[in-house]
Amino acid sequence: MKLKNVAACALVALCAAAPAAQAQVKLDGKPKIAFLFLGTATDGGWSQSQNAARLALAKAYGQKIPYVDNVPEQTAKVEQEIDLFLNHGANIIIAGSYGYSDAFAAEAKAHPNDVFVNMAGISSTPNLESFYGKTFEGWYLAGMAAGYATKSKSLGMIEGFPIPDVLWDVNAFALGAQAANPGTVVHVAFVNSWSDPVKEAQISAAMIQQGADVIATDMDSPAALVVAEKAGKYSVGYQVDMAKSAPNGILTSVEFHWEKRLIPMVAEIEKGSWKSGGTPLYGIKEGVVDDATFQHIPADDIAKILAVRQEMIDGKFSPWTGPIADQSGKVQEPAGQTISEDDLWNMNYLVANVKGSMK
Amino acid sequence: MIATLLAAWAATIPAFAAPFLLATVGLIINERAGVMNLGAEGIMAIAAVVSVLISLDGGGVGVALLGGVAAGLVLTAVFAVLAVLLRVDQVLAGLVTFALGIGISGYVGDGYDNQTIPGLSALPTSLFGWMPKTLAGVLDQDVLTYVAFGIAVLVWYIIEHTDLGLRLRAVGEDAPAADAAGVNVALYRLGAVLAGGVLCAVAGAHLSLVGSHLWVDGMVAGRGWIAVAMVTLARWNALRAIAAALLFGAIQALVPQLLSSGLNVPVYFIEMSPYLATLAYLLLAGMFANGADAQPVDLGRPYLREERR
Repeated sequence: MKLKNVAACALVALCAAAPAAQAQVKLDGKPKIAFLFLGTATDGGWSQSQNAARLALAKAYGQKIPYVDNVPEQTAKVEQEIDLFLNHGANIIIAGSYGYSDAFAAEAKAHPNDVFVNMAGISSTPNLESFYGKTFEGWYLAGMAAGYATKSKSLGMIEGFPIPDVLWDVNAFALGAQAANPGTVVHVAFVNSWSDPVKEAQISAAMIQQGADVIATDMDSPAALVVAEKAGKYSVGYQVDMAKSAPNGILTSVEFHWEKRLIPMVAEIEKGSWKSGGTPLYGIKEGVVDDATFQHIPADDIAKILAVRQEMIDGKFSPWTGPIADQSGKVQEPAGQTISEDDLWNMNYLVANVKGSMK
Repeated sequence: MIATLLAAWAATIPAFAAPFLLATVGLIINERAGVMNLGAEGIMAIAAVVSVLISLDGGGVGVALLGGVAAGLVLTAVFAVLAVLLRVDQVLAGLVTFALGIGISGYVGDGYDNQTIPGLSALPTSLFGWMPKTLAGVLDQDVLTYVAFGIAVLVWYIIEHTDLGLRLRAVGEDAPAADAAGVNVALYRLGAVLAGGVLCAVAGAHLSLVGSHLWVDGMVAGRGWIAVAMVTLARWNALRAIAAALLFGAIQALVPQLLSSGLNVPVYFIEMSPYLATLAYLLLAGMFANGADAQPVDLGRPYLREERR
C-alpha cells in the first residue's frame, strides 16, 4: 500500500460514477500479458501480492510474463513502460496503483485492441478495468476472530492514512469484533506513512501496555505483529499471510489473491466475452480477498466465523447493514439499510466502538 | 488511567531516544574535530540493512551488530577519504555518502523487505522485579540502549577531560594552531570521522535490531537528519546530547501512547512539537547568547598545511 490510496478519497467517487464500459474487446492473437509493479516484486506486501498473481497467471497460461518493478506514479514514466511492453507484443497490461490511473486511461484510449487492468486504480474505459478488493469483508471476519480471542475487550489496529478504503477496514474490524463480543473496543492509530516499521512496532508496544491483547496491522510490514508475538498477544496480518512473523499468536491475515479474478478475466478476454466492469469491488465470493486459516481460537468460534463468511459469499450478509453509528453517536446508516459501494468510497467516520482520532 | 499512561510513556522513552543519541554523539565527535558529516542517514541505513541480512542468514545479534557496524564503517571510510584526505567540500561529500548509503541499502536489501528477525529484546523483566513498577519499566531496556547512554557519557568525558579530547577540540577549533603544536590534523580528523561513523552505524543497527526487527527500504525515515540537527541543539556537547535525545524521544514516545490511548488528540500538532521545541530552544539560545558560540570555529573547513592562514 503506497501512494495509490492517498488521494483515493477525492477522486474515487467521481470515477466510480463514470459509466461502466460495455463493448467487448477483440485481442489481436493470443493473450500476451505484462505486469508493472509500484514497488519491488519481493516487497513483502503490496507488490509481492501482485507478483504472486503474475506467477499464478504464468502457470495457468504456460507463458513467461515479463514485469518491470519500481515504476513511479508518474504518468509519463508509466506510459513509457506500457509502450515498451506493447511494442514487444504484449496485449494485456496489468498493474496495481492508484497513481497509474491517468496513464492507464490514456494508454487504453490509444490502444483500443489491447486490454488494461489496474488494481486499485480509479479510471475505466471499454478496454480498461480498475478493480479493488472488498478488504472490509476480510477485516469483518478478522474482527470476529479478534473478538472471540480478546480477554481485555481491547484491540489495537495500526493504520496508514485516514482515507475511505482504510477507514472501511477499521470500521469492519470493529463491527466484527462487536458482533462476536459486545463491548469490545478497537483502538486505532494512524502512522501517517505507508511504511515506518519502527513506529509501527512502537505503537504496537504502546497499545499492548495500555491493555490491548490483539494487535491488527493494515500495513505492508509485520513489525507490529512481531512485538505482539514477543509480548504473548494475538495478532492479525494483512496483504500476505504473516503467520511466519507471529506463529504463536496470529489469528489470521487478510490476504489479497488478485489471481482469483485475473485468471478468469484473461480466460474471458481470450474467448472474446470480456467486458470492462469499470471500477468494481471483488470480495471473498470472487476470492480476491480472503482470510488466511483461522487459528488459536476455539473450533466452534471458527465455525461461527466461517458461517458468516458463507453468508457473505451467498450475498446474504454485509458488514454495512445498519444500524451503524459513528463515534459521536450519530446514525450513519439506519437499521435495515445497507451502505452502497459508492457511499463506501465516501466513508469519513469511525464507528462507535473505535477509539482514536483521524486528525 | 493517567498514572498508567505516564508510566507506559516513561518506559518507552529510552528506546526511542537511543538511536538519536548514538548518531548525535557520533556526529558530535566528527564536528568537534571540524568535520561535518551529512551522510549519517546513509550510514544508518547501511548498518540497519546489513544487520538484518546477517540475522536472516542465521547470525546472532552480536554478529549482526558487528557486521552492520563494519558495513557502516566502510561507507564512512568513503566519506573520510573524500572529506579529510582529498579535502572535498564536506557538504558535498556528506550528501554523496547519504545518497550512496540509501542507494546501496535499497539494492542489497531488495528481496529481504519485511522479513522478520529475532532481533534484540529488552532484558528479562524478572531482573527488575524488586523495584517499583514505574522505575522497573524505565530500566527494563535492551542492552544496546544501555550502551547508547554509556557511550554518550564516555565520549563526553573523553572530549572534555582528556588530552586526547583536548587535541581533538584543538583540531576543530583552530587546525593551523593545532598543527603548529604538533597535532596531526589529518590523523585526528580521520579518527574522529571513523569513530563517529561507528556510532551512526550502531544507531542504524539499533533501528532494525531493536526498533523494527526487520528491514524495509527507507526505514531510517529521516532520523539521521534529525541527528544532524540535534548536534546543534546539544551545542556540540555529548552530555547535553542525552538531554536533547531524551526530549525528542519523550515527545516521539508520547505520540504512540496518545494514539493508542484512544484520547481525541491533535496528532499532527504533537508530531510537530519536537521541531517547535528545537526552534524555541535555538531562539532562546541565540537571544541569551547561551553557548551560541559553541560551534567549532574550523567546522567544515578542510585543512591543508600549505594553505595555512
